[in-house]
Amino acid sequence: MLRYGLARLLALLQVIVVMSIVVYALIYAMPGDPATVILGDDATPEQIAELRAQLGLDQPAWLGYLDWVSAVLRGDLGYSIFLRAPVAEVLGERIVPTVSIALLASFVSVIVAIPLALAAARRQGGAADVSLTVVAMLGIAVPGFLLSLLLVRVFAVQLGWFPVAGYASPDEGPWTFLRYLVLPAVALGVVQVSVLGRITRSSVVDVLSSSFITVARAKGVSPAGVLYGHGLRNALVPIVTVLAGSFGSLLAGAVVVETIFNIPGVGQLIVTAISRRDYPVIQSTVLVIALIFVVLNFVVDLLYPLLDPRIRLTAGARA
Amino acid sequence: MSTHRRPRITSAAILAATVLVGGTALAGCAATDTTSGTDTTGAYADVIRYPVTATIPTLDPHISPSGVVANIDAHIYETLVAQDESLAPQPALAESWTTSEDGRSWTFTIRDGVLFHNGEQLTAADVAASLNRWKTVTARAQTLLGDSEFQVADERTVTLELAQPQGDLLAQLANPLQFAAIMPASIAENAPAEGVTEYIGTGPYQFVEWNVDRDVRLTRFDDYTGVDTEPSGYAGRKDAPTQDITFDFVVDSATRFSAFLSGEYDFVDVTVDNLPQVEGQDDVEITKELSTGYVVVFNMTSDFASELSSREAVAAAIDADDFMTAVVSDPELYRLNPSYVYEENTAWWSDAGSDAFYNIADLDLAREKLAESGYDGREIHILTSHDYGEVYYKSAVILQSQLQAIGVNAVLDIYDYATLIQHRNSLQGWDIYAGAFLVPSTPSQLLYLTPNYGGADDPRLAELLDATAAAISEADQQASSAALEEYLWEQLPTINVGDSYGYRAVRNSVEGYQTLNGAPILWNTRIAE
Repeated sequence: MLRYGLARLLALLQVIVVMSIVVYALIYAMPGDPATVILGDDATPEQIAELRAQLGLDQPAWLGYLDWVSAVLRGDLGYSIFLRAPVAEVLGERIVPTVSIALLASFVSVIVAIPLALAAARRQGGAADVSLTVVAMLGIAVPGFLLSLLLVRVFAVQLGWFPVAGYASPDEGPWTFLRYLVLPAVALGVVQVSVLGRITRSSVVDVLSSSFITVARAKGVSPAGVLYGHGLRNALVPIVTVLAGSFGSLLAGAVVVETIFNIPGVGQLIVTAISRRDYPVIQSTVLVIALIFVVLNFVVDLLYPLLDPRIRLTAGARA
Repeated sequence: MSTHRRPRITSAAILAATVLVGGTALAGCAATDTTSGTDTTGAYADVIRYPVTATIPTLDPHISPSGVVANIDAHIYETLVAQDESLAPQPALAESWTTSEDGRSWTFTIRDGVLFHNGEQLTAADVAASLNRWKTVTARAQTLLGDSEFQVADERTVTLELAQPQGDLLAQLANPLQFAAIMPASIAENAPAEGVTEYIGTGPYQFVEWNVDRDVRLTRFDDYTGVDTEPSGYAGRKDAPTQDITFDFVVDSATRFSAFLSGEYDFVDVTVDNLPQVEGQDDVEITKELSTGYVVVFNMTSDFASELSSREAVAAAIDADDFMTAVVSDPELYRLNPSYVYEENTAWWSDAGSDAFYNIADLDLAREKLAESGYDGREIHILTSHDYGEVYYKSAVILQSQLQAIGVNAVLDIYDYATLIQHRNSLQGWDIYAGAFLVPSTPSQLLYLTPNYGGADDPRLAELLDATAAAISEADQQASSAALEEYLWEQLPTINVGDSYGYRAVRNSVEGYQTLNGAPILWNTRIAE
């Protein structure tokens, strides 16, 4: 177990290092720079050169990379050119709405997908099965932005239940905070319902057809006991894997939803940082998101033996 | 050009309004009458929330050419002279000014008793320091003023000695973009290159906070003292009847529109597609305002565009009606205009020289000119971007199709805007650029005629531009403008295509709201609840 953990950790570090080089190289391959964006259309070449020098953009790329890496290792994520604040501070602020939406979206998808999938697995071809298939199809086929716009139209503009867009921080009260998050979370969650629902259904169907279920039924375990105690319990590994994976992509993929709902989250931060060439923000934000992604997967890997004691972790077998 | 909008008094406020100054009263004066008894506290909103269309990199009024920065800063900062609704300069922080007969010496007298938001008194030293910084960091002002500096003559007097006469000086000082804002000398003198971080002005609203990419919050400045003339454009009385103003950054146009429909905002820009949803609603007024001018700019250093006959071929190929219809998608939203300034700008408007090429759509002539230029069928690169609501992209697409019709192998090079600026500035790898530009009040402020824009390093053009800047009498302004336009239509470093309008929707509960060239003026605005 320890060796396994260490091996995974080493793989994780390799991913981070390669990723940091790729991100840095991509940024330097990108034309345009923050100085031209700040000074705009009618700046003279001299003004641009002066600002470039002041922002430290005139040094060679490899030196910039080393500076950045050594700063990150000391816990300094850099200083945003446009936001005039340390990137760590900005990220700390921006990650709150994004994580909140991702959590709420995961919650929505779990409470919708799991019961629906269980009902579908119990009676294949029944009403729950058909509706799960329909939701799954819709979730995959309808683009997130379209769904978001429809939700806004119906629940914000017509019915007025939720605000059209924007974000309220948790300090403004839990109810206000939630009101702003519901529509974006539902828009994101529906896609997850389709993924999670289908995985849960097929895993449970798989488990229910195994011989130990037949034994359990023969022993007189109630249908509910069979379904929850054995079916769902044994399907947990694929479900948790999908949940963790989708949580990571919710963090990274909230760009569209954050744009439509005008939420100052990480997705919006990256998009605006790219269009402004705010290098420190792009580098460090991508690094942190990648880090969250791999750490999440690492944690899930470690969780497997707890969920299913039949799984043994050894460095040779899985790393 | 001024699309001044008279405030409508809503039914809720009719009683109050009739007791007040009458139907044409601007809500500004109405606001001082809140003690009249018919108007109870709480009848008006404490805060105006205004959605702006783009995020901003800085709030420094001297540095950023962004219209959004200018719109917000206009509430915080003031200038020596301010544009009224006919774009004429009026007294603001300067109560008067004189100019010598040769137009080279200027003296401005600063209004007494003006306070900055930090409580300090405005002095000539602040004015000189601010304007000298503005002159250094704004390319337009640098061209205008050269090495001349604003000097402190006494506590309330600032002077300026110019190398050549500049009839344009007041117009430049009143230009609302990248404007000549007055800030305390201590801030102006110590400003870093990326912009000031303390936003202290003399305006009717003071800066509270800027939540980057979310909003900018302002609150009424209680010690504000302004001029006491009828409000008009950026000039005149500023009453600040509403306690707070919040500018929200809402970049997505669909989001802005939905938020307006749900009642979160009382102001919104309306696209042609969304118009039917607000048209005919009783509580909403739709206005149509001039917004930008469309211009084709050549890279005068490229092999193709450096040939006059190639530029003539392009000009002959352009059908301005088709071009404008393609970019604005609604015949109601454009008008043809051969001049580089709006036709309402009677001092400067001129159609001199435009007969030869403006909107002739003569494909035979275009092909003939193209053959004359020795064009060999190589790729001609049109530089463009999908950013900013596709104004650049749509222009490039229609231009491409009009050029293909005469046999030019036109291709689109599409970049994001930051990359586009860099390519354009480098003058490498592109031949033609087309898009929407803000239309300035005088020809010498035309952005695309500066030498480092399209590479039009043309001494004759510079001379003609200088002549317009120096013109003081109306006759001189007309003559210099006509000479410039004639030269532009003959040499074609750029081709003017037409003017565009935009729709805006405003709720009738809004009183005292004005706009000038699309910029919101909120300091006399209040919203009935």
